[in-house]
Amino acid sequence: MTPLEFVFWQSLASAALPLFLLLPSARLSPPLRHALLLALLALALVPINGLSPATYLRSVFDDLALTTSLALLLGTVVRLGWMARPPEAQLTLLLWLFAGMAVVLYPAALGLTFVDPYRLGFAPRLLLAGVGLLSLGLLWQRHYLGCLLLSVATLGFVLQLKGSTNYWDYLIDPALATFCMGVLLRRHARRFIPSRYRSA
Amino acid sequence: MSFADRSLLWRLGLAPFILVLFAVAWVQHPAAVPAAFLDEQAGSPTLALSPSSPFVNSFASSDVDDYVHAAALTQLSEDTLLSVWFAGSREGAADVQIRGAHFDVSEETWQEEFVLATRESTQQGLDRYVRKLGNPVVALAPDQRLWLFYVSVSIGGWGGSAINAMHSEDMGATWSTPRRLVTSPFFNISTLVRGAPVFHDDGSIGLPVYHEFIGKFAEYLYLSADGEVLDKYRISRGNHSLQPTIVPTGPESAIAMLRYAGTEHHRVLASRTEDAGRSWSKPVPLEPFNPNSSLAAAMTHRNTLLVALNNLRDGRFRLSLYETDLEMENWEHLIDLDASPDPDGDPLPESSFTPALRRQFMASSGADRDDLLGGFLAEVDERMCRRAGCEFEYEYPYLVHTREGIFHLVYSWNNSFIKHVSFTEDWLESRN
Repeated sequence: MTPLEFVFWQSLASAALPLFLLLPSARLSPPLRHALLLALLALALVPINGLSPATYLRSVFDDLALTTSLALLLGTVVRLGWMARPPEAQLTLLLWLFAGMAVVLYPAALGLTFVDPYRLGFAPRLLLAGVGLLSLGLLWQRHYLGCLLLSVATLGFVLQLKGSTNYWDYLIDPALATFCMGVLLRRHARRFIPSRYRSA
Repeated sequence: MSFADRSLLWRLGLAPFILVLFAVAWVQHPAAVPAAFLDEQAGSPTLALSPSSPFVNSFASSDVDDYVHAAALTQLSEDTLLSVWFAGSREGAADVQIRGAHFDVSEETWQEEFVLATRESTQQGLDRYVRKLGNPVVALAPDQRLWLFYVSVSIGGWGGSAINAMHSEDMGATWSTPRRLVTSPFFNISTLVRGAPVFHDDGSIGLPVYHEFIGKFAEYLYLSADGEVLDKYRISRGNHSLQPTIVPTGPESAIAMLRYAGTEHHRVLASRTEDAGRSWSKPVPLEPFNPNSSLAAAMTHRNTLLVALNNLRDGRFRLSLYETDLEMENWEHLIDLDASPDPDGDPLPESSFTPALRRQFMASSGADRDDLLGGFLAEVDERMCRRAGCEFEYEYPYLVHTREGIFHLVYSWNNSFIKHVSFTEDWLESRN
């Protein structure tokens, strides 16, 4: 697959799969779920003023990280019933992993300090060593999903599938960071909200 | 074989593949170390063109209907310059185009302007929605590839900008498809260009860039000779500096002057590198004022810096040329390039504004653009006049020093024309 073909399929998946996962498609019968997915994929290609919705979304959100694309793909596969949902503990670990990456990367990239962690992605040997060790650690702990996400992101970086020459852009994007932090905040907010303010 | 044994074998079988993958990535991506700065003044010119006068000015642009802004300039050959700028119904409008024009040095004439990029051509090239275009910069690389970098926005204001790159192998006759440079982890938004690119000995490109999303700060984007982003280095931090103009002063040393966007001292900022752009000193305020406006600098033949700027606390009603030493401690005023007749830049009533504008036009346009006066004056009301009166604005200078010993400066003249001023080293010598 050439980088151009990859960009097409990635932008198509980035437009259709989040909608498929956000809609209550789990309540549908398996054939209807498949039909819904196909309909969303087709919808993402319908041109509006010469550009498809997938292209408009790519214009705003840029090309998503490979980890995000793979996570969306795996979520869709689970929703379609082709694969079992990974254990909750493994998913929680991934939420913390990507939220941690976001905390390291994004605030300093805003120009608050002279230190710019985004640069680690242009000269990525230190980052590669860390992510490589992490991938092996996840493999050893039988966390195959985490190992797969980081390895596929690195493979995409080796093949330069995205327009970016920065390793970070293959590992994480603001959409994935927002999702992971949002889920974690929602889970842990209960601890900090007095019981009288919680909904029943 | 038990489940535990099979799992162990499975993991031991996968581990080498992962190791190889990361090892390949490691080998593929060594850190880029910037080479020494290219000495663009090195060597003797083969053709010594003498201008008819040591100080000449004319309009580079020829369209009287459009708002024009953010000009840049490069030398294509000893006898040809290329200037680029953006033009449209107003700044940020969907009809803004990147335009250019050639200057014939021996004839001292600007040719008709032409379109280099539009919102539609950029959209088609990038396969993304493009809402508007912004600042362009242009530079001829040592390998004779002509580079055009320009800003585009898909959503929001200038904070949503990204940089696009096009190059030409035939001095601008044909251009590559625009390509997006990925420079920011936030959906690749908030990076803009304004200052002139500089080159390194190995042909790699140093592109002065700035961010204005939440913070306003400057960076040095380091590109390969093929325009791939290799690294970037922070020049300033926080939310008070932008639009760096960079002048190499030695093989490893350079000065960056920055537009000040804060609320404290309103002075030009300066930072230095001594390692070819890898690290920059903390920016410090200099003597001249800066009313949050772009400035340009170039090295002179006598090892000083020539700086074009609005040395004002507020407004852009006077654009001046200064010379300073490399320590930037002693500043000498050389000339006011353009100035409002009102010394404080206060708005003028139309009755006194129009005659003054007519005089300035005739002094600036050059013989080839004289006939544009009538059409230009018909457009003046909307572009330069408000209820309080009419105002002059001279801004966004871009300065180049050619190997032939001529300085070329382009800037926005009342956002109506791109004005070109050229002067010789002899003229500079005669000023002091």
